[in-house]
Amino acid sequence: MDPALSSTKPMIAAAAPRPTPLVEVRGLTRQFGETTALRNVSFEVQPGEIFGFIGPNGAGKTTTLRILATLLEPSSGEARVDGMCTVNDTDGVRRVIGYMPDQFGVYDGVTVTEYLDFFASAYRLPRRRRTLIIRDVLELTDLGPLRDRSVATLSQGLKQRLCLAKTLIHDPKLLLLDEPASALDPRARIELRVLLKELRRMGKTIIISSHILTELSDLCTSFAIIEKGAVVESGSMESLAGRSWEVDRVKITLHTAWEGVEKILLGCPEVGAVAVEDRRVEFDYRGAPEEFHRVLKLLVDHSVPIVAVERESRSLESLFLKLTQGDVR
Amino acid sequence: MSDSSAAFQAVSAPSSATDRLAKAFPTFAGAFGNLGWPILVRQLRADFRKPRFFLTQFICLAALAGILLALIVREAADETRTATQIGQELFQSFFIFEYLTILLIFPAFSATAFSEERTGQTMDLLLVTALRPTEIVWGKFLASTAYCLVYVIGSIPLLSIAFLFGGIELKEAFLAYALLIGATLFVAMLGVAISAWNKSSTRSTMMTYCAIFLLFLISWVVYSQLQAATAKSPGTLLRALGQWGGPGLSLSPLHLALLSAALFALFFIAATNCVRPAAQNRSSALRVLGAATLGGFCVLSIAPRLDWDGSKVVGLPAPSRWFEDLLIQAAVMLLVFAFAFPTEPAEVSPRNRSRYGRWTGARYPLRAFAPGAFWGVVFVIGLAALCSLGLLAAWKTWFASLQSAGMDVLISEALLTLPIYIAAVASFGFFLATWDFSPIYARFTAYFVFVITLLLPVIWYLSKSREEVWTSWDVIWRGYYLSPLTLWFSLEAGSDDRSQFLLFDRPIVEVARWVLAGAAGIFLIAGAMLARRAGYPLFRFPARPLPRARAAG
Repeated sequence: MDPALSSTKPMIAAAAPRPTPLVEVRGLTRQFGETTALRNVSFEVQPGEIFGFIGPNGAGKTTTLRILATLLEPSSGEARVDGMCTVNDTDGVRRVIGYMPDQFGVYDGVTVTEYLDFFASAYRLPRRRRTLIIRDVLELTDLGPLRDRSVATLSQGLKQRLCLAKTLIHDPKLLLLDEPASALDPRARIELRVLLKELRRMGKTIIISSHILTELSDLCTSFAIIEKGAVVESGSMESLAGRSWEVDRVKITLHTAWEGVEKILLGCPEVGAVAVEDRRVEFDYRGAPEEFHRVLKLLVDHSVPIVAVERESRSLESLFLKLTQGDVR
Repeated sequence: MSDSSAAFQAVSAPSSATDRLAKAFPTFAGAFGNLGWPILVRQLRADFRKPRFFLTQFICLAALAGILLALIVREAADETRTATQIGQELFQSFFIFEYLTILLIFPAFSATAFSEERTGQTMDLLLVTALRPTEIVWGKFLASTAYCLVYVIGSIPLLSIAFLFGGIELKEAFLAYALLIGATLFVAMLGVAISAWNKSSTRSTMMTYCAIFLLFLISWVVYSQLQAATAKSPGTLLRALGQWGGPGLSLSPLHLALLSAALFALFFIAATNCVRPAAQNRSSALRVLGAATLGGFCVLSIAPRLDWDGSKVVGLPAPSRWFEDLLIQAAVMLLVFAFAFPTEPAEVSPRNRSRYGRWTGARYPLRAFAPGAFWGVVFVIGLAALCSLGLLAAWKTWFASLQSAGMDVLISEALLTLPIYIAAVASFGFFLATWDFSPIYARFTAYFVFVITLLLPVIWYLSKSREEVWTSWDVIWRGYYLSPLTLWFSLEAGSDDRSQFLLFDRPIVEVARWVLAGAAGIFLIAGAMLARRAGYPLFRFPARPLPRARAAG
């Protein structure tokens, strides 16, 4: 026999199989009376991704997340989570999702542990494992020391964290987080970001809607921008790099106030929107990242006393502003 | 942030006990699951810690004890009273007070079962758990019942005071407690169902009290009519129906228990429907159960059973009457259906329209009953007319002996007026539906009109002397004379009295018929015009859903 024919290896390499998305949304439309909240929304989320769902108020973010959470039914179109239809297989979908709404309450009169125990039993976790799981979730969300506190006495930030702990109690594959950082102070936001990264490391897929675009751009691996119920742009964060609208905001702190720094910066064609306030200088940088050192060199050559440089990627924000009009429907 | 991902293990399997139960009794497990245990436990933990719980229990029990004490003091002062009489008096007062407490105070707790979750923004968190809608409703129901049951159980020591005086049989006490607990369960489920349907706590509390009041009023009217029916002859509508169907609609303990159980089940399904995703709506089950309740109630009314005194067997009709009775019960049942249908066309909403529009296969003809469907209204009117004709034929054929001159006029006039009344209400529902009224308000406007026309005149009538009734322009203007019940009062009046039941020198029944027929016509024409303007295919059978632009999905 021809050894070539007997070989088990294929002669022509097969195309790499397309990964099965955890979330598939196809042509989703939802109407409330005469108002169309969603029109033909489609996107996919791959397992392990953090998917940023961005849009102005009333754009349809919450409606989409509520459809994925089986709390709403689409007027037309289909949403699938882990291959299961959100309309016909609600029980199956609810087992694999953890949903945290943008506005939620907590049950008064119970402690943190009792609150989590209620949701653990509501997810049918066996009694003997519940204690262990609650302990782990409390540890993960840093609520361990508050386990015996009444939930009514918790601050808004702690309640938000408790709701996230509840969302994790049944170890869902997919987390649907609707504006999870809206009521949080800066410290709590940073902690939330760390927690979400940790959850991603644990293999969770996360769909997060938020208004804080700078944080999303650090966190997300893919995104969709929605306006007036329609997705206007979606893709991976890598695909944003190199786009013509990419703009970084640069903040420079000087040792002493320096006259003429604005003039020097405006001499660079990639620099715009310069704002000088005492020792702080801010400007937009539109050039390639690898060319940024030229701007700094220019300032150093003019003996500008730079103390600190902070660069903030605004690619997502710029894209958002470019694509959305901010109209209220 | 702690790194505990290693410790945080995946748990996806449901509990083994629930699984085993589901395998052994799939239907039971599917319906009831873990009986809402997690919700019950959480609610008990939260509610029983609140001062409100202890305060309510304390006040109710203290008031009950105070009433009993006052009664003992009053009765003891009367030397003519024996200990047995005092014991019975205490026993009765105890249960009347407890019954009133259950009706007046505890609905406030059950009526906020779901609306509290909605206003507290915890409803979504609850719905996305693995709990089934039936479990959620059961949990809420049990938690609401617990409040009341603690009170009922807590009052048992107070009842023992009545036993000290004697005169009370243990069987009697058990029966009274069974009724009390039955009332507790019924009121709790009613409150839970209303709160599941209504979003606002205040509104659902108000509606629960209104529903309890209406049930109380209806049962009181029925009860008083039944008493009248047994006391005098010729009697009222119920007397007539009772004669037709053997023992007829008299409420024996068996009837009462079955009716309560069926209503309880109806409330339960209605509540789960509100919690369920719309695609898994069980409204068909609701209708089937409703039909079975009515049918079962009518068929069982000819079955042998025990009366309240526990000894007297209310007779099984003679074998020769069996077939006739069954037929008549069926006719009565259809008539009740005809009464139930008029509000059906008023159930409008874009979602319902699109849902009915998707009905295919065997359910395709049912599109005729889609909200605003013209043929649904035609069916309702036809059914009412058919029932009336059937009853008239039965009356003429089988009950010649009862055809005294007065009764003959009574039955004929009533059976002529009733379908016209039903036509008017059905047309009103159709008009509201085509007007694209809000679904909730359309349905309740129809019910409101139904209840107002049915009951209010009775209250008004009872508060006036007969001479005043039909001479007042106010009455004519308000249209009280259009109620079927007032028409019955006018019909059953003796020949001498009948001269008072004239409007514009015509018999009041005749005037009412013309007014109702006119209203039916106006509503039908107005509804048809509105439907035409909306592009709704009025006469096509089966009714098709609205064009996409109007149907909203």
